[in-house]
Amino acid sequence: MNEFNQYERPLSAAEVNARKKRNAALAIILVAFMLLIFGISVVKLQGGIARPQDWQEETAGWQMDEAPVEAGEGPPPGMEPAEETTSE
Amino acid sequence: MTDQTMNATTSAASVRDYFELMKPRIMMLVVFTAAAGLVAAPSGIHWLTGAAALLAVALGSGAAGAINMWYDADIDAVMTRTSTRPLPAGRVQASDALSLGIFMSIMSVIIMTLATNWQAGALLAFSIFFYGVIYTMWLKRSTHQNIVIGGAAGAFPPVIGWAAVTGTMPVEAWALFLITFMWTPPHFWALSLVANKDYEKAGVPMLPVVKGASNTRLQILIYTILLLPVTLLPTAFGTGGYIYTAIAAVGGVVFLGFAVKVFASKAGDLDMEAKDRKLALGMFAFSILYLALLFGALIVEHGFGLYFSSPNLAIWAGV
Repeated sequence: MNEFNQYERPLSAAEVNARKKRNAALAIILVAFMLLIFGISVVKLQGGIARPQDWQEETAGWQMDEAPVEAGEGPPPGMEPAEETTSE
Repeated sequence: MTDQTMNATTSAASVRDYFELMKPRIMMLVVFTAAAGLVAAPSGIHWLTGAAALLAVALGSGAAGAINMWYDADIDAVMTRTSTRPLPAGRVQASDALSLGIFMSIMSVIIMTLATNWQAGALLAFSIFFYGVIYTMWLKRSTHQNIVIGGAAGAFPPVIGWAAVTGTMPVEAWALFLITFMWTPPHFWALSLVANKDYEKAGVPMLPVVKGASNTRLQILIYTILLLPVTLLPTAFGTGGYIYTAIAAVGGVVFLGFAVKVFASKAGDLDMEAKDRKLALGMFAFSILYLALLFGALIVEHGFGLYFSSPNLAIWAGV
């Protein structure tokens, strides 16, 4: 023992038992917390997949690089094939 | 510190002692009222998100309770009713209680914000601050109106529940806030009438200690009369249906009956008899049942599809 732990003493069997129970409770809480965060993440992701109209509405007013293409008049914006470049 | 040595006070603490720090009975009522706000809100919520929101409210309530127990350990030790709590009884160290309170506060706000939205998280953080700092550290020891203003802390949960679903805090949600806010003074003063000696001994300026039992009984009656129309606000806004309205009306009349009897009694006086004490404690016990029934009715109506709209404000206004 040094001057910093002069008040320390060996734990009794009951105290060791109490500490084990506290540690077990902490472990359960940590696992439950982990599962909860995982579950919340899944629910949030499912919400995004199931309701694509939310982000579609959100992005509806965004400026497009090119004029919208009428239905059936070629590939949708962003899907055009790359322009051919000629080397001279 | 070696593996098998530890501070004597901490090593004796059980999980139950730490749970007791969170004031579990208050926590239950807080979660219950938050659940009412959650189900009464006009749009739906995923069951796991809702459960996470209620868990966050429970953690926040427990955190505020732990901070309250840490700060009030000195007066808890003096009062008979609270002398067996974990801190005054020496089963848990003060620093452990404070650490638990702060840690749980942070975790509860994080969980609420992640699971629902920042509005609900912010209101939860404010309610913990209101109870832990404004009520516990300031109002409780400085004014006899402590419980009137401090009651707001316990009234926030239904608004938090509502905000968790919608991200908004409309007037319908604040009507639920107002019920608990107006209910708290008669509820708490009924108890303080029989425990005023304890509060006097601890130097806590509760209303019966500062203004006397007679004034307290009058205040209980006034707040109860004011509470009755407030409990009908959810009916007026269309949040409460027939079941809620019936419970609010019948429960309100019974609660008013208690308040009138307590007003006419000698509860809290020096020559208080056993029947007066029993009456005040009866009012205290019924107040808990009354609040649980009010919010329980909202849960039953909205959570179990038993909502049938009663004559609400739109009909009264002829719209």
